[in-house]
Amino acid sequence: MGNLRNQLKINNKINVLRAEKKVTQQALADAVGVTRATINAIEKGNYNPSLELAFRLSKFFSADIQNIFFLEENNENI
Amino acid sequence: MKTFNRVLLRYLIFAFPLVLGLVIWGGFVDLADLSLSSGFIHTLWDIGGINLMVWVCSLLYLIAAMTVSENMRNDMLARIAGIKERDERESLIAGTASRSVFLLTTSILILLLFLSLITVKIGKKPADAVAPGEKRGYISLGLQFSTTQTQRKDEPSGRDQVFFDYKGIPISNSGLLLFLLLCQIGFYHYSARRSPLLK
Repeated sequence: MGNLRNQLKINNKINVLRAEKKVTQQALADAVGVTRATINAIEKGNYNPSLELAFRLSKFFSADIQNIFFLEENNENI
Repeated sequence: MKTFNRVLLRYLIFAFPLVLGLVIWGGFVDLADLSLSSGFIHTLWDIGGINLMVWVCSLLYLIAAMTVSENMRNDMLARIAGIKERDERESLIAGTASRSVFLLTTSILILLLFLSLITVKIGKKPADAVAPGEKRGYISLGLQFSTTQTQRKDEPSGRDQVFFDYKGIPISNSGLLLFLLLCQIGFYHYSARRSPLLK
């Protein structure tokens, strides 16, 4: 189970959705109730948001969570 | 109550330069002359003195309130220590940094406890106090534990030539507490800044 966690990386396309919607990081942060630094960290993949924040982002972009966050499998480790 | 405490905290911060100025002023002038003088300087000294009294009382109240009230601790101490928890990521950073600080301060406390427990003495006995052929030099290791800060009575070393005599940490209580306080806040910020979540 421990290995499975290492092999999977949660990625997201928030920056793509943000660009499509023409929303700044600050505006998105204000809308979902976090700081701009948190949005930046999520976009860079340095921070995985909580389920609650993921649902708030999903609601903001009117998209399913699976369409925003997805697992990026690292084939080298499998 | 919350507003009162906030106003008091602001007063403490903004009046601190005045208190510091008064302390410095008191160090340079002759206090006897100052209390006998009259006019503007005397009035200024009196106002400064009243301000100092109110400032110390306010500080005492806030420290006591912070120790008792959890809300005040969270509100004020977190602000003074510079702990930011505006969202879940910052809460995670604060939690991770707090864990690191807790473990560090615990290890420092263990080290300090050990250092305060041991006693070391290195000396040399006089030539006539030892049997012929016996070594004069000695190293004495001991343990001491006291729950209260009592004045230790140094054992008379007699005619022994003592090179090194260690009996607990040679730092005052205030110095030690200040060191721990600064260490805790400093390492918290160091840990928080090193967090990968900040990149």
